[in-house]
Amino acid sequence: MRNKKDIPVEEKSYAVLFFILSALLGLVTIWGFWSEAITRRPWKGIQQKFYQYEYEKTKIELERAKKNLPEITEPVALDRKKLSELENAVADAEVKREEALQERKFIQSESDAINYKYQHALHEAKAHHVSGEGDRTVEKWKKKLDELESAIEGPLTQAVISAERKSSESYQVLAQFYETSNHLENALSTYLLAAKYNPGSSQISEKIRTVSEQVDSLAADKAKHEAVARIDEKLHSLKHVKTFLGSLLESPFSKTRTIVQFYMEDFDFTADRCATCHFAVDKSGYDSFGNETFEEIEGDGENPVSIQLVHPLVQVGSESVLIDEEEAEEESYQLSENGLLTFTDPDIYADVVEIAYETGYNPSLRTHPHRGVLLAKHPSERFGCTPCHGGQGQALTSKAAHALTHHEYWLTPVLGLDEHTGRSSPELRGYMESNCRRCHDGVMMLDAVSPQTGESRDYAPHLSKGMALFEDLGCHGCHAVEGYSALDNIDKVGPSLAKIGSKVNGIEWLESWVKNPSAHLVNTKMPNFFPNPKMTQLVYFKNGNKRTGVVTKTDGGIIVQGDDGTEFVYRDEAVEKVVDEVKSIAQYLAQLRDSTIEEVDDRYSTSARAIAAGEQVVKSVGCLACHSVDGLGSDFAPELDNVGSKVTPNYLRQWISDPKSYDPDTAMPSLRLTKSEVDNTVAYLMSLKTSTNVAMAESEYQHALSDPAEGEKLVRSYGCYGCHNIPGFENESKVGADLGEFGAKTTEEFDFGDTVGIEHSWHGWTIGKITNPRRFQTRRIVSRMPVFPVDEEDVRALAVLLKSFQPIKYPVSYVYQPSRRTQQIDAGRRLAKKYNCTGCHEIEGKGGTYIDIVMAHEGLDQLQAKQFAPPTLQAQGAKVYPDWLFEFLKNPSAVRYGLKVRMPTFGLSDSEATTLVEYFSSLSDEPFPYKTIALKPATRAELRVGKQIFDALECISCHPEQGEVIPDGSNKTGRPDLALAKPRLKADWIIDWLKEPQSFQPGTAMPQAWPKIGGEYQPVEGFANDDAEKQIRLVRDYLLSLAK
Amino acid sequence: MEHLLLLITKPDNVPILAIVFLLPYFTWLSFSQGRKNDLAGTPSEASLKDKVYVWPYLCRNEFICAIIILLILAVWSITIDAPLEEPSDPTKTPNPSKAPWYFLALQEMLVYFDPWIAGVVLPGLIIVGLIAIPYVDINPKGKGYYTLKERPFAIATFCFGFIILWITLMVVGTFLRGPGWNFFAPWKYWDPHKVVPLTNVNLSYKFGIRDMGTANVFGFVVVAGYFALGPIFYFWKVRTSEFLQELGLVRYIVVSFLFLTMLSLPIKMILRWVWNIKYIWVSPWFNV
Repeated sequence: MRNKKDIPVEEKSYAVLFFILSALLGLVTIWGFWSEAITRRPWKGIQQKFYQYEYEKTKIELERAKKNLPEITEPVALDRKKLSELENAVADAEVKREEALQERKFIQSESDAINYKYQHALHEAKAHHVSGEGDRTVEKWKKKLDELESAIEGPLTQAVISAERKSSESYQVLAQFYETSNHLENALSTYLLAAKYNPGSSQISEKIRTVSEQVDSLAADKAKHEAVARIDEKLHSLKHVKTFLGSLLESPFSKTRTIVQFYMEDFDFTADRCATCHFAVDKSGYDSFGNETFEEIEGDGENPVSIQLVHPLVQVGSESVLIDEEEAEEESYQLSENGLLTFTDPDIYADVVEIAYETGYNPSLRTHPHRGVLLAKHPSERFGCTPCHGGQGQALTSKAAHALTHHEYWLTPVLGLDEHTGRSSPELRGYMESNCRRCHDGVMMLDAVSPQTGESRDYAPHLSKGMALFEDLGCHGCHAVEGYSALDNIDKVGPSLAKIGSKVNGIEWLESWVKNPSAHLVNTKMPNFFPNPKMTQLVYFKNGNKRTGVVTKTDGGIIVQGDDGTEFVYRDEAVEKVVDEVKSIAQYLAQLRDSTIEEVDDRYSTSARAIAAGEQVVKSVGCLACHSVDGLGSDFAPELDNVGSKVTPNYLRQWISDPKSYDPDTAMPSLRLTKSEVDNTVAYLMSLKTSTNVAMAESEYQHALSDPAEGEKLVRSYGCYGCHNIPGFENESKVGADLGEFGAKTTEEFDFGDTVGIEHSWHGWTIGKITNPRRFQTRRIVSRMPVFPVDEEDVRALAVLLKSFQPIKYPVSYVYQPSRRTQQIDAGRRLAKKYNCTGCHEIEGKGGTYIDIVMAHEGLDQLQAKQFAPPTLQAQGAKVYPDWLFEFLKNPSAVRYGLKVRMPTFGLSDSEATTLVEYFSSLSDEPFPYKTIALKPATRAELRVGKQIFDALECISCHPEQGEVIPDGSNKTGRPDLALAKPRLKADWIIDWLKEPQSFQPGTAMPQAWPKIGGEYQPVEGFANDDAEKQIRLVRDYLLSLAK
Repeated sequence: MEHLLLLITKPDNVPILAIVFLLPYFTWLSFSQGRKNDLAGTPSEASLKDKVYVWPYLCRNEFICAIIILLILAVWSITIDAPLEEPSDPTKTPNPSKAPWYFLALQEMLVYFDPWIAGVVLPGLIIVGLIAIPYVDINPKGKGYYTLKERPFAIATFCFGFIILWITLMVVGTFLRGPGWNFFAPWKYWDPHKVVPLTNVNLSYKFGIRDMGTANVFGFVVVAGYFALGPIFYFWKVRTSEFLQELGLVRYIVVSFLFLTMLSLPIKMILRWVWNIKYIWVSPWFNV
């Protein structure tokens, strides 16, 4: 062992270093706590803000409640002496009354005893064969009995009554005393006692009425005071809660700053804590917009008038103030941010002041828009937030929760915010609807009844529009979308091209149509495949490459201007061939002919008479419900203004006489035209030639090849068969990309090509692509997608739908299971849209515009035209028998005579007709299948009376008889044939209809034969004992008997 | 530049950034200490003059160090969050998919070798080699003190294998490998659409061999020849070198095999960069 001396000692002191480090460690520890409790919990500040708002709002609420608060007159302390005096008086009167009653009761009892004796004596006397008359004992008791009874009825009862009156009076005096000293409830009960002893007194019952009214109003006043007290209490507690320290001191363990979490075990164990910051989302009163009305604003002539608005935070400048329905000038009022509206003119007087304004709440502290519908149908406890909105539910900072930097935090960024700035904009807000489709797949719209207006409203208008456009534009022709059930069993949008060569009038028409369809038909849905006017040529190079562009032959060689703007010079030998794309496609299509059409008579009249007659047909039978001509009609189907230069007469003849024989899949119905009508129509339509074909740009390269074989290749590569039926292309797959997971694409997955100025985001790429599908093509990547006729709104709607195409499927328990009724309505809506039923009829409040055509063509006013227009189908399901409707849809027959417009024969399949019948039944909440209950058959006599009433009402003056030929201009035109009532109309409905026609069809010409006065139907005098109900039934029975 | 800043400030990359500065510092420290010792003749650690007791002198130093480390860790954990990524999505592979930072050198090797070599054989050999060190290292010097002169081979091998290969490849994998595992200069934006020419060929192809069987034999000969370099060197030098005699054939073969295997990585890297050589030995079952 070494000596202690040898042990080396380190002299250096570390005290200062140690102290500094320890101090730093202490500080860092405090920093850690601070960071944990405050920095990392920003939502605490937001909730505090909420409590501040709540405090301000409660203060305003309290002020409002306190205003016009009624005075409550407290009961006066009772004068004891007077009270006991009166009570004594009552007691005395009661004693007297009791005595009088007792007196009478005793005498009554005595009379009962005497009666017994009398009866007994009478009995005895009869037993001894004495009639009883004259028997002394009997006489005696009888006399006595009479005496007593007259005493009871007379003076004794009088005495009782007068005692009761006395008693009642004394009660009245007491009640009066209570009333004057404001003990209303005592007064009321005392009056009731007074009334008991003097029931007939109107004075007392009047008193009872007024006092009980006072009692009621007092109770109401007290309730108001209690409400004020409650608000006051709330305000008091908020006063502490609104500051952090205050809430701690008030109750350290109450959770005023807390994480709000919705946990959804069956939604992939999602825990949504969004409501921690969006604290007011399910609380009312934090709307983005305020709308208030004040009555009777009057200044006192000296001071400005101030009104406190409900919302204590107002965005000044966003308001519009109406004084008695006139816009107030800005200098006449002032609006402060804390919601104080001040009229500077002290003499102001207004009956009504309305103000609408934007509120200035922190954006995260707002009530959910349409909370009454959206949150009511999707309660937060079950649906949370992220299933609809996206975002990272469990995160507690806005950056992480909104998860906008896609790949860094979360796969599903919150919808409706800008990817880069995180800001919301009206343009992006539509994306919030995209997730609706993930549960509500395959429906046409998401309508619900608004609790505010009571009307049905589409709550996802962008999505609905996008879905409609996707189908209408035929996007599904080229793009498959896995998991989008609306596309199951959907038709191709374009007409069949199987016989196109026989249909159109020459190859030039085909060429100019393929080149630019909208030059022919402004409203056509056909997209433009050659958006660049010159780009119609396809160049094959020797090395196997293919390019589209303009080819110009110069001395220096062949110059190819690519469709992406690049230019190359090639040696002539390098170019294998140049193909004119448009001409080749047209040539290929022109080969698709059908000899049976060409065999049809191709002659047509050019006489002015035939043309005029044809015009009448086209403009009156109903063609214009879908087509248009001379600016009249609808754009559902192609306009006919230039049809004469497009089609061949033999095609036209076959097409209008029987469309299905030309194309079995067409939606075009047959209008059952007669031979002469067909001739005239062909003459008219062939005369419609407004312009010649659009001139084609000449090929820049003289030797451009136009070859049907090339055309076929082009049809394949452009995917024409996606929208048109083309023979030989039945088994081709779709040319476009599968869009099933498009919505989940990240920015990195998009190729922006050589574009500049397009925002690098999902939104930017998608909008850019739809507006100009060739935008992103480069030298290497060729786009074939054509340019669609869409406007900005359409593009946005389509983008919303595209966003909804997501790979992750939602749990089945969350997916909306439509009721049978909803399914039927949706299927019906689809079919009604396909066949354009609303072109003629009004259904679900839409359509029925054919009346405008009748008005324009016939020169009638609305009321007259109604008679000649197709009927409304509102409440159709309640009206007619399903069986009849089915038959009618399959094979229409005239119900109304003399009309020019016809119900077309659509050639519906059985299932289509059934779908429509179910649709109408569901709309009217009628059962389907419908059970007909056999009515009790009417007797001959009943039918006779029914006929008498029927004749008396002169029904036949407006309604036609069966088979009656109606002259032009008859007022029977367009009225239904009553003989069809039995198979057609539901028996119950006829009764309802006869009672109140206007309730079914507002504005109908059908008069109300049994007017309703004072809730009673007034009978037609002289029949069936003037019983209106019975009369209606008899007329109904008579109508049903009319059927042959 | 902006992109480089983004890379450097990523929470994931804090340890690598620390390595970039700390490793050279400690290497320099040990080298300068070793040089000092070598010049002085006796290592300073060998003298007893500077020794003090563990308690309290060492312990208090350690305690102060502990406080400093604690401070660093506390500040680090307050200011920088754990680098969590989004939940995995089977339909989406992240691009680039990177291994944890300590495995990035292994992942880098995948560029030059078949997965079974880069992922199985080479990591296995690294571990076997580390285990073998006590058995093949017959040099007793340099224990407990810094020196350069007395262990030149061991130090050089370590510096090359660990610092140059392992650490550098890790840094490269972190900062210079972007989407598609493409190489990006530090100031370049990581463009997922970057396209690089794919023109690599096998060594046999370079020599004009198109036939698979011949290529297989050719590759075997080259690889076998490479590994034969070790024994050849032994028999050439063994007579004159005392060290080799002391080491013995078995130990020598182990060392030379491990050493040549280590060297094969830079060789393959150079072959790839300069001549676009993909594989040296191509067989139907494996590629080297």
